[in-house]
Amino acid sequence: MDTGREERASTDVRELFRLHYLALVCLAMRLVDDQESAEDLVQDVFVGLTRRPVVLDDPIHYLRRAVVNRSRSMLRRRQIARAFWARRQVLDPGEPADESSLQHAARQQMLHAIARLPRRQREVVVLHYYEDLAVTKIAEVLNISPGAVSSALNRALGSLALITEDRHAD
Amino acid sequence: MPTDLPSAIREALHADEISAQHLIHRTLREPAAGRSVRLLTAAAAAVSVILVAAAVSILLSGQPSGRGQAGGDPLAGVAGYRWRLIELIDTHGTLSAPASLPALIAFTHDGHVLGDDTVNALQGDYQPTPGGYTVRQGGGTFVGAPQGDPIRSRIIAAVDAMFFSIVPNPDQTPPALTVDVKLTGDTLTLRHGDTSLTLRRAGTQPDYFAQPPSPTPTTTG
Repeated sequence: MDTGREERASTDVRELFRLHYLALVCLAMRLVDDQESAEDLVQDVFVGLTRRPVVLDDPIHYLRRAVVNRSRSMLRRRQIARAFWARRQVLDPGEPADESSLQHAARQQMLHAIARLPRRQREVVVLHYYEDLAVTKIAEVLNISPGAVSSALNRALGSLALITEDRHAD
Repeated sequence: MPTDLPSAIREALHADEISAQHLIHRTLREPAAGRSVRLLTAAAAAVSVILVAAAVSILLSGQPSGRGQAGGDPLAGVAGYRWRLIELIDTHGTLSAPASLPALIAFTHDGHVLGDDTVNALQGDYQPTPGGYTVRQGGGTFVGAPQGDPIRSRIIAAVDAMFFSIVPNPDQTPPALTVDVKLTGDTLTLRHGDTSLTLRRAGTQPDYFAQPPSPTPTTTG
């Protein structure tokens, strides 16, 4: 790649960073639980793009996919941290003053249940209910078939339904 | 909290959103110069060590290298000792371990690797490989860590990374974890994935199932 193209690619990466960094950090937080790790992995995605500039037809699609892949690597490195302390770090930021503790507890219960789903189910739930992606789009991001996405989503909903049922039974 | 499940999931996931003001890093990090070169050099060195060890082993005995054979066992000089963490390299960069946070890893001759990540006691079974060892059945006390201490958190994550690998489903058996080993004098380097630990020899480590000392034989005459 010549110097001019490198400079333009670098500029493009910075523009992508400006446009999408916050949203990708928010997505990554739902996959790796804490903000510091989320920012770190999203930074890695952009640094990777700076090193190996590529032509992106659909940048946000590419970036989402890269974030999901890097979140898997990160979780692999610190499985135990995820299990017992990371999810307390950010997903339990303290109760807002204008919210009942019951609602807050219910949300935390749901977040913990999502965090404990098998990896693919968690990714599908986050991409569908947080990113509002359709099944076909999720299939592209995760590089799996739409059927596999639907299946994972159904199983996840089945597991998460137990949470709400338990709560209502209390 | 809404009563229908999709709405409850949406609400939980969208709660506690952060804004741009709450970001820890607001600008794009500069690529670390030379990192890929260092990785390539390390990989080349590791390959060289493995090739030389294998060649020496074949030349000397005609058999695969075994534990305790000079040049063929990356754990020769490692097992039977405990090692104190001096420095770690993770995705955040290099961190010198402060003396106030003494993390330890120990290897017994009878196949156990033990650890202290400053909070949790860790344990696993190791199996030597040409370049280091694999750990199976890693476990720990999982007590947790004090919040708001990023240095301790990095130490814990780095030490734990030598004992555990991810288990997507808690019911599944954890996969074996491969750790590369390099020993130079009293300095031991362990590497798994993006995490590397530099440790210094800190004493001997008895076997996990060490026999109690036998009574001193008495001479009769």
